[in-house]
Amino acid sequence: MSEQFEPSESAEAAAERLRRAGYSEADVQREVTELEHKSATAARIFDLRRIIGGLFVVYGVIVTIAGITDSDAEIDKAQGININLWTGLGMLALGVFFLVWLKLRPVAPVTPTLPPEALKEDLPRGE
Amino acid sequence: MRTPTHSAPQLAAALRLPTNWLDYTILGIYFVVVLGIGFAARRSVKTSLDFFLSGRSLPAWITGLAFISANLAATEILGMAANSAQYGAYTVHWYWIGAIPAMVFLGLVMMPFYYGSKVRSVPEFLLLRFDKAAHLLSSALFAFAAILIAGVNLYALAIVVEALLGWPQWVAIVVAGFFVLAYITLGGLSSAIYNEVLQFFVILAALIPLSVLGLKKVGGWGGLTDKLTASHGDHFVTAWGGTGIGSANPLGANWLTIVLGLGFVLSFGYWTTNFAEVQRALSAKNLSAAQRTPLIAAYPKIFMVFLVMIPGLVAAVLVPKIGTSGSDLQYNDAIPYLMQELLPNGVLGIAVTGLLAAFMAGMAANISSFNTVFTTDIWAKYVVLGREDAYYVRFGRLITAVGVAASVGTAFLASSFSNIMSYLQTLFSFFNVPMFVVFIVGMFWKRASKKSGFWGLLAGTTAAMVNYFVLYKRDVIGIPTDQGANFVSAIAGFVAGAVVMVIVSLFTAPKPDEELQGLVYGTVSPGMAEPPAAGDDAWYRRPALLGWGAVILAALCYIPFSF
Repeated sequence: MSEQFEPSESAEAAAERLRRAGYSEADVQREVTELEHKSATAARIFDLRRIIGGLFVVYGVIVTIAGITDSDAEIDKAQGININLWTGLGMLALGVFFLVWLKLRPVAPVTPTLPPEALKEDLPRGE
Repeated sequence: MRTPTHSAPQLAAALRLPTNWLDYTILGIYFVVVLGIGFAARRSVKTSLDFFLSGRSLPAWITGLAFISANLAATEILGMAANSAQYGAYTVHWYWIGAIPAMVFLGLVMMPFYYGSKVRSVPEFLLLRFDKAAHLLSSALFAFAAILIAGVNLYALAIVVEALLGWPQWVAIVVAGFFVLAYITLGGLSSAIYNEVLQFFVILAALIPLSVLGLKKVGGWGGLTDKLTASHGDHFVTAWGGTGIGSANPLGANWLTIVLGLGFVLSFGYWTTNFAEVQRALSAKNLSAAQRTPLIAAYPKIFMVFLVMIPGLVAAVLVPKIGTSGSDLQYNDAIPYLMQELLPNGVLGIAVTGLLAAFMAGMAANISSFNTVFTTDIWAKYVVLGREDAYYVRFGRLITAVGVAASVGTAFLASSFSNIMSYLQTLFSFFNVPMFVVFIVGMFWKRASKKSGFWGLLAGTTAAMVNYFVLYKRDVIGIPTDQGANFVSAIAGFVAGAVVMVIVSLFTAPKPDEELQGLVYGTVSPGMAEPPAAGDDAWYRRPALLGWGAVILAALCYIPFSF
């Protein structure tokens, strides 16, 4: 526990610095509340449903096509089941589900906790 | 019978997968998306709270799936399939009694204190409840364990990739380390969590076809159980068969050590105090979402056991000598072996991607919790105090790189156990169990004094290590298997920690009541008083209903495995 003090630092400055270091419950509550007000995640993070939906649609299409073009040898390997086809269709359905969910229930616009000028500088692209 | 131990868990060289351009295309797309998430999440990082805790703003379904994914790493998938091939249906205990009750307890009982007190990490809670000594010890133990476990994941990834794809181990380590480093330093916890959710779905897309084809191959569930009963005995496909005290079973544990050691101490220690898990819940957008995080995760957890157990059991049928000197294949080979035998190109690429994603996410979960604890709990509180917030974001990015480098260094430590899972359980019993005892006593007993936290933590860790490394490893007490010894070590650590805490508390002054608000059961902190957000009062979002539903469902799942 090396709380290093700069030799030139005044006693009040040192006390202030330690007060802010969050050793008590009130310190932590205050510090995290302050940070929550400045936080940008809620306003700027993209919607994950778009990524999951997009990836699974792409994967679904690739694997479904593989299933349609599979040779008998590949189907025999998979115990006579056209596993590529079924897995591909399943993944496609999951991808479509996420995109439809995104379409039907878009995220409610966040009440900006950021000052307006911070938001203006770069709004989320395409959202 | 002792568990056969192998000098190094190398996968058999014969496991090389017949991957082609199609499989590599699927893998390549995944890597691009992973990096893309990192770059896209970068712009959401403005404060240290954004970097370390996603600004406490994520919805419950995302944190819930990340919660399950952080656990669904290499350890889970290969290790639990290995457990099933070795011990049979006893594997269900790790899920239904060894996870669900603890996850529900975390959501219903502990989360109001964690989330409501606004702590940013599990050790920070100990700082508020106890003192700096307990805080520093738990932070250091956690940081150490996180790096070790990240190393285990990296090592496991390297051997699997070498066996399956033929890449040299160092290539796999460098590639995986690079991607994890890149997306966490860019986007912080948000990109770790987003990638975990993505990984959850990819791993499902890999394991469901594998389990279906495996079952088809051995003649369905009926064929599987008949063949295993014939070759491995009646108890192999039951949950409780042969677990009477004094009777022998492959697990080397009786019902009492299963319920107390695994179901209570190990499981509660892991799920309720392991910051790599709890961090996901702390990043939720409000108390209701934080409470629902482990509860939403509980439902996939109940059914996930089938997707890892079935491949393990199928492998035990197809390769009866698996894991013994009569076969090249080891227990950890169960899933790779079935992938090779059953999956055509296409789904094979999905399965390889799912495995790699799981390894990387498991490592990322540990790195992203390590950088948080190291920065907010160690660096910002004891080394460089009171700097501006942007400094700690920069430091967090730097320490992420250090953490990745250190876990590369510890990867080789994983090589002395045949079963990756027992290695991890051993570590958890040393680090998480004492944490849990300190939490449970501190949260429910107001009288527990400031000093008792540190001594309880120290005594519990020491007792678990002494039991494992001295009493068990030197054969002072006779326990048949590593897993059985882990359960007993966990119980020893718990009891020692609790006893020491009570004794120290009785001889030292209690903490004043006003410093315990919102930290001890029966008190309320300002953060808990927030009104529920709009829509959170819907019946299907009520934590109590979700939690008890999961417990009842898990209990019902035991019925077909109990008679």
